[in-house]
Amino acid sequence: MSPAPASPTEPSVDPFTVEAIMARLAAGDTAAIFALAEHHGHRIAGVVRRQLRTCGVESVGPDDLQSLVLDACMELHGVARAWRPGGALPWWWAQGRIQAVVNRWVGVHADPLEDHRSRADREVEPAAPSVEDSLVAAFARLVAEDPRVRLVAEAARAAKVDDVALVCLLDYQIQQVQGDPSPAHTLAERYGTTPDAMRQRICRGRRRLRQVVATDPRFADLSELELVA
Amino acid sequence: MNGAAAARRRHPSMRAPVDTAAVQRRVATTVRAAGGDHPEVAASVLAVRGTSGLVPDAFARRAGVELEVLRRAEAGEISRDQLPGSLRRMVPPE
Repeated sequence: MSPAPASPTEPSVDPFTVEAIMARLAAGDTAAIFALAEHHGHRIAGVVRRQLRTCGVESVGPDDLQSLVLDACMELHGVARAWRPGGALPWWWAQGRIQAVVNRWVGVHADPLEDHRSRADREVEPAAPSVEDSLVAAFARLVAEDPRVRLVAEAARAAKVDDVALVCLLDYQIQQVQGDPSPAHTLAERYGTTPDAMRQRICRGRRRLRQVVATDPRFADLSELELVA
Repeated sequence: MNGAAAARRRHPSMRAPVDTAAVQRRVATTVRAAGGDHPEVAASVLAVRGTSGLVPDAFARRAGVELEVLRRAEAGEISRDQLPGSLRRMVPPE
């Protein structure tokens, strides 16, 4: 965690407004999380409860709710730089992120679907979708294991989209699916570039892939793929 | 902040479902993960400043400490014993 930077917030401005808190979070001021939780935690809790209801959870204990609201605050901290004042309130703007937090919690507490089957009945123990630490390593394994992923990698090579750019494209897609309201901001930090440059990279990669898939019959099966849609 | 806004904030319906200690524990975890040696100290100082709503330089002035000392304390680089008195009083002894 980087030390809190000096923020230009004027002393006369109410420091607990949504705009002031988000500006401080965007500037990397971790202390603003306390203000967010204390002054707007009840609103974030409203979004959390709403998302829980969509998952069929009608009531939640105070400790669990507190933990979920805290997770949501951390998510808002992570995307604060992408939020713009004047639009939707941060917890509505980033409700996809909050939904992902809730989904994880519900998933952890849900009853396993295969409870009725004993482990002995299974021929092969199911593997986790990804056991690698990095997306690059996970993708490399999938290329070796899954013919469809291999086809994507081949299409990328034909489109002159290098491995890093392809993984970046996939990462972008993952962020979008997880409800990130601004994947370009999230990934720009991760890949050490600017959000604009990231958008350009994604756009260029998608365009090249789309072109290859549309013109080369070897890759016709990929035309329905979200990645090139 | 005007009186109406202050009164609205005191209303039970506006009560946050999160207590400061819980946020502090979570922030301490983050500081620890970032390599801070004294995460609890950092979280305590961050909690006091966060709930005060002050930016670092204003808070440092108010507490009568150097801005750099405050930054280092918030990054978990300073133990409670090494903190200047005014900051040390904000951190409960372990």
